[in-house]
Amino acid sequence: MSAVTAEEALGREEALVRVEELTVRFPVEGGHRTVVDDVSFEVRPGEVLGIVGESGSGKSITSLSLLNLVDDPGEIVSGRVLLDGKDVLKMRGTALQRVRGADIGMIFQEPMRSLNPVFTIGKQLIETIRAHEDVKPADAYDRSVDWLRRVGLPNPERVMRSYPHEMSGGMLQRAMIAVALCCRPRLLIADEPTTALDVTIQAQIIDLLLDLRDETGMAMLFITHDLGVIAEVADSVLVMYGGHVVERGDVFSLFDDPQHPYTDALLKARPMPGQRLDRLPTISDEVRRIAAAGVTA
Amino acid sequence: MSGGGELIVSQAVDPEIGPGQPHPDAGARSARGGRRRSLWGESFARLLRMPAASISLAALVFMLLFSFVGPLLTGYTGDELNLPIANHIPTMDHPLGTDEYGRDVLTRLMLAGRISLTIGIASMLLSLLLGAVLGIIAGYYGGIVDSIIMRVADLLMSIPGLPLLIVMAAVLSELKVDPSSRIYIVMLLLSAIGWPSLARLIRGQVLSLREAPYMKAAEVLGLSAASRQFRHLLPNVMPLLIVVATLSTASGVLSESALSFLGLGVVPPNASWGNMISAANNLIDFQQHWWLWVPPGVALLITIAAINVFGDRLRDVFDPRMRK
Repeated sequence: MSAVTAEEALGREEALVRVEELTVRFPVEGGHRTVVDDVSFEVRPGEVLGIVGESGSGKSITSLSLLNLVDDPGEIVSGRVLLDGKDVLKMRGTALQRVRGADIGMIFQEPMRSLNPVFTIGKQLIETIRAHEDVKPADAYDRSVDWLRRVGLPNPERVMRSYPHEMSGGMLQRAMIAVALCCRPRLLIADEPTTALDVTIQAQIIDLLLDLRDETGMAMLFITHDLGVIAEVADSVLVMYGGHVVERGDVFSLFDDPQHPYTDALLKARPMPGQRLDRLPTISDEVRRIAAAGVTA
Repeated sequence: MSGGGELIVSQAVDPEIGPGQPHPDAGARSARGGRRRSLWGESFARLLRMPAASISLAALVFMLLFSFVGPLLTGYTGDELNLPIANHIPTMDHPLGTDEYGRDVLTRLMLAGRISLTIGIASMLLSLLLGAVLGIIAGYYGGIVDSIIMRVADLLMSIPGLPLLIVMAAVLSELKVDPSSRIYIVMLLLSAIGWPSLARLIRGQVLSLREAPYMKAAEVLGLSAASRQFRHLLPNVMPLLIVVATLSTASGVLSESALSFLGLGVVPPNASWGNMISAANNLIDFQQHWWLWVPPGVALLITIAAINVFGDRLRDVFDPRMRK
């Protein structure tokens, strides 16, 4: 289907998660709209795969599909998500619950609203650990404190007793990362984890995620519309438009030598520091049409 | 839905913003002071600082003591007949006089309070249980389950409560149940007509809360559906639940009194405030024996007013958005 890049031909390491021909559609008046169309990719252990695309390009739905979390009325029509050779999309009940949290963790765009406002951070960490592992409350507590320290929160014992409304967005995103990682998932899906944060906090969170990747060896699926962030974190990149993967490749070749006209246009549409323009270039309808058709360069 | 990462579909409401917000430094302050107060403790302390809330709470506690402890202290059992002093005006021995059989009105008033308050609270608990479980299930699962539950609720709500109660009570009267088990029947009747409005309210909250990112997060973390519904969703609905529970206790007490007044609820020899007030139906009692029907009226007034004022203040503390 999509462009086979040099990078793909080179590294044939065993994939951690392999997504095959994933198609998701939503009912619209008088039919269906396919929001993720025949998407395939794989994430290798320790790899950071970035997914970029504008709003509505299907990147979030793709990531939710990995956890079989597409809500009604959305429908995964076809495809497979293979984790350890098992299809996550066919899992039900406890098997699915084990994958969620224990094998694949996820963090969201809005840390302020991703933690339950009526519980302390500590309770939410301990509950998550104990939902997946048979450990004593005291051990779960120690592990929670340890994780809060690892995500760089000062005074973790105090944070354990804090409610989400007592903390700032940056602190909450760190706490959320601790909750997502406390059962040592092998893949972390980060769905625009820095969009709601200001720029300095953004940089801190990205550094933290990369450090934790190095420490734990987990893979990451990093979803964003910020090409600057992608350049910083990702090893390889998937560019999505209209539910299609229009380009994939390693991060350097993508930025230096975009193959698809949409990627090219997307890169050109970024404002550059030091460059004065009356107007930013926009993406022409022609390019959009090519991208939407799923034709790759 | 757009696939661009905008997971946040609705501006889900956040009940805890209420209690939390006025004290952004509460955590720091109480940490310095040593022991940390919980969110509940903090809200309760704030509640007691409102004069109306503390006065109504005091009135409620008084009515509870009056009804549940009082009868032990008057020296009468409330059902001993003493015909020579029937319908006697209040004296030192009988502070609120005696009724047509010479029974002590004060003691009967207290016993009536026991029954009225018990029925009010029990019917509230039962309709709260029904309403909360059905409301959460309807809101969380949606679809056909939601439709069935809410159509039954609509059906019950579309019929005015009191006529429905009267019809049901009249049917039950024909079955000749004995007076003491009538009390339980009244409880069941009241909760049968009480749960739909609670279920509807809770369903509405659940509908907006289930879209909150932290509910998605709970799912992503692999928590089971039951745990998500009852351990994560329910506590978020709790402030609202407490408020409506309080207010529905008042309407429970009132409906019971109305039914008993009409002779369809609690019937003699059991006393309830409603059937005591029905003495006013008798012209002679109304004109000459005011101590038979004024005290239960006053007791009912104090109780209902106190519950309603307290419930209103509770709502101010827990749910500032509902303030007018």
